[in-house]
Amino acid sequence: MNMTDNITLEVEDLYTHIGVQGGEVRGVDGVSFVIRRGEVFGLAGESGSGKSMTAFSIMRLLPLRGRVVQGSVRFKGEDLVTASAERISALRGDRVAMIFQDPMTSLNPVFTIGDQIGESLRQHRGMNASEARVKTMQLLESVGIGDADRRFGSYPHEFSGGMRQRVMIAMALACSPDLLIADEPTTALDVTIEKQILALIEELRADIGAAILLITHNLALLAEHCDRIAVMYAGQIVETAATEELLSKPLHPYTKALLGSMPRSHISKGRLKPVTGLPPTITGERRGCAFAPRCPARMAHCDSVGPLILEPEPGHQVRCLLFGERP
Amino acid sequence: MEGHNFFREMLRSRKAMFGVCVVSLIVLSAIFSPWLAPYDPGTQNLIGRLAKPLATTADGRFHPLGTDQLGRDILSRLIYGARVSLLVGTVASLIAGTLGVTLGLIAGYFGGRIDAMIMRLCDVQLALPYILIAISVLALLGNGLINIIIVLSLTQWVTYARVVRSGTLSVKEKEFVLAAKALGFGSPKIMLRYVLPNVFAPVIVIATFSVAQTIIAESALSFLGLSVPPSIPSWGGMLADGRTYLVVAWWLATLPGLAITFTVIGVNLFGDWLRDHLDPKLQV
Amino acid sequence: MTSYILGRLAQAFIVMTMVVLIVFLLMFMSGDPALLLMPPDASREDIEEFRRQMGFDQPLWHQFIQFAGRIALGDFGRSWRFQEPALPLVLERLPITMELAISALLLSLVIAIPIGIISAIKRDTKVDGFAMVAAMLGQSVPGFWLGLMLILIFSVQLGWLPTSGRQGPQYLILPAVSLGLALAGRNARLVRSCMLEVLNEDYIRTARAKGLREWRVINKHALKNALLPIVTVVGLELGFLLGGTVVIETVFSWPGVGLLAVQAISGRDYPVAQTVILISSVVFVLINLTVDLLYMWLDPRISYARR
Repeated sequence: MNMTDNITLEVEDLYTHIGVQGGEVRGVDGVSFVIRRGEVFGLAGESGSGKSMTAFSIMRLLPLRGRVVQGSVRFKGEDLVTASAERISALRGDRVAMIFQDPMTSLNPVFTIGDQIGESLRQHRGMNASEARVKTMQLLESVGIGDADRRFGSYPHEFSGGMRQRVMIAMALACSPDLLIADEPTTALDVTIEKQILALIEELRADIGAAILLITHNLALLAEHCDRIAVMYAGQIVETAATEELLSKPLHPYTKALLGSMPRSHISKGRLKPVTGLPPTITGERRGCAFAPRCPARMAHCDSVGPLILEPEPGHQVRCLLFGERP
Repeated sequence: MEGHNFFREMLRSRKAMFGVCVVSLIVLSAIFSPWLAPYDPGTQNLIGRLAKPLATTADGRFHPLGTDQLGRDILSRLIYGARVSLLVGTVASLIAGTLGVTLGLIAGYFGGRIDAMIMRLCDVQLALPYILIAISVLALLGNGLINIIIVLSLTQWVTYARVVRSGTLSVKEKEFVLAAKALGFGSPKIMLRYVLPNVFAPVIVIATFSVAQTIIAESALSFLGLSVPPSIPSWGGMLADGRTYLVVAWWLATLPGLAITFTVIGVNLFGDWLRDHLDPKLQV
Repeated sequence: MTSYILGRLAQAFIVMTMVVLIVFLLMFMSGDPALLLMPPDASREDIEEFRRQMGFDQPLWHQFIQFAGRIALGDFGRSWRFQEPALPLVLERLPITMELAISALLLSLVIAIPIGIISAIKRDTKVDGFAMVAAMLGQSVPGFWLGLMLILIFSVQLGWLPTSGRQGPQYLILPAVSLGLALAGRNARLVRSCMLEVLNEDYIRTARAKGLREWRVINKHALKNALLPIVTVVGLELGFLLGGTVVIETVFSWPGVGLLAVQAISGRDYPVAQTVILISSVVFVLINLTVDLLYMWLDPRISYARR
């Protein structure tokens, strides 16, 4: 009872398929993780590993050809996968919010940012125009956009990339959600802006006590901001652990490769070390471990036996035959 | 275009096949009119005038689609009428296409003043109300197949020019074109052999829609009495007769219009499928 | 912004000059312009007099300057049939044609916009397929034939609506429908395709992520963006419509400039025909210019960039 009170998001056995010409791709192939109240949870992986698809599956924002085929996504005990459309609309923007990778294309060019921020307030809090305006100005101030009065009536194209992302953050946090999903929030931005934006997210998060799902390929970022990190590869989570633990004692060969087998002090300065080869797109039946073709620690039966999730240390999960075949 | 794939795709699509069948039917009618038509389209028979469809006239002739005000068999006239529509439609589109593609290539490739001039020419062409110009020119120069083909082709070339121009603009900066330039090839050669094949796909789509539009335009002009001389059966001309006798003989106006609509639907369907297959973003 | 407007005005001026040139040259097509511009029953001396007056014995370029000059001053010649200056005759009838054109356009939009939006939302379903086939059918029917069929059904058989003329609001119905149906087909496909493009954009996903109801996402976020290109095309359609009402006006005896022109040409009243062509072109160019400026005003991105 006590434990479940504490859990904001529980994803269990999530499978998402995406229709492409001539079949379906298994974008999310059996993903499970838990985010506790106030926790910052990181989801790492190369592009194509299924991180964004997982986020879209949670928010039910999948593209036309995508669908969740199996699994549950429990937000504070309520399953989002089976919830009605009205319920999802009520939760989105209010209790669960998301910010996207490209602030340039994610804001509607023909409406003012004041209008766009105020929309959530009007929709979820029933505010009228003047109330919404007051609150919006406060939000703009809190995300560091000065001259809020004038900015209120400005259009997205009048802002720089960093400013636009601040606007997105203001929009997302307008109703003080319990969970914020940030999908590559700084990838499209300058490195200098990056730090500011993340600091901002941290600060605001602390203010409202939200949990964060931070998605990025940049391990350094995760190292600095997350409590726990999950590493994804080819639609599956291959390792999950507390940040300290993951960085100092990585178990999965892929994680090790990502960290470049470097001691921790180097990681906070470096970016991702690219792994050779390309991650596969999974169509049809999966046989064996997806990472096997690129794995330096590969064994004979890695091609035929699919590894299950094991927990060799408490709180530290890994999906690899090196640690056994059965939990 | 990949030959085999293309045909197989076409055979599989209901839309395309319907369009192709309709068009083939009309083309065959046009080509084989003398064999297909039950009567001579020009033979008048005042005894059997304004006979209803499926009627047999007083002198024992059966007319599946009735007769007109001069006793001429409607079915035969429809069959022969396909000739005018198809001929004008295809030839005018061909001429318009050649003119438009050429101007578009030149405008896109050379840019600058030449481009501006050609673009202004397009604007002028579009500003002039085509029907009025057509009527004026035909009134001044007289009727006739050649005149009407020329007049109609002048109204269609702009779309070709614009699309080819924009295609040329994007292709001309590509490496293989720059390489050809570096090799010292002359402009005409580059335009014809390097640029043109790469901008051609939308042209085919435009051509089909252009044929459809021209068929309608030609029928409008013959409706106004400005196309071929009245002795040659044309669907638009039949419509004009139909208008006079609308109250007493509904089939005179209804049937030729159905023929036009049917043909245009066929062409449009095929063009639509072509567009889906070749260049879905094309707006015509 | 001002330099852009000036540029467009300059372009428009060039286009109009070329139009005047072409209309001017058309006069020489039948050989002798003096014959064209005088009534058919004019005597030889009258024609000679006229020829000298108008300067037809002068070199061509000289004549053109004179011609253009007269046009610029508002002298479009004189209708021999009505014994009046041609310009006021045409301007008087222009609003009547506009009435028909605008009604047809509005009618087409009333049909096309909802159908286009629904088709886009329900993309690739039976509803979409059916709607698009219907749109294509609408585009394939010749307007003037549709007019005849409508007259046959609604005037001749049912007697509900009048066949021709313009003596009251009900006279507008059949002509507007005939003209508007093909337009409706084309606009439905346009709306659908613009909506589909917009619905694919990231900001639509953002709108949904904020928990906005789907109808608001469509009607507020998607539609406003889709309307920008739609407005441009529809504006241009109005321009083309002006030239395209000719046949419909003939079928329904609708007293607009199209009918006037057709009667003028067949009656050899060339000054009137010439004037209709020139005025139609001017209106077309003006409409284009307006559409351009309207687009600039509507799209916040462009007006900002030009500031």
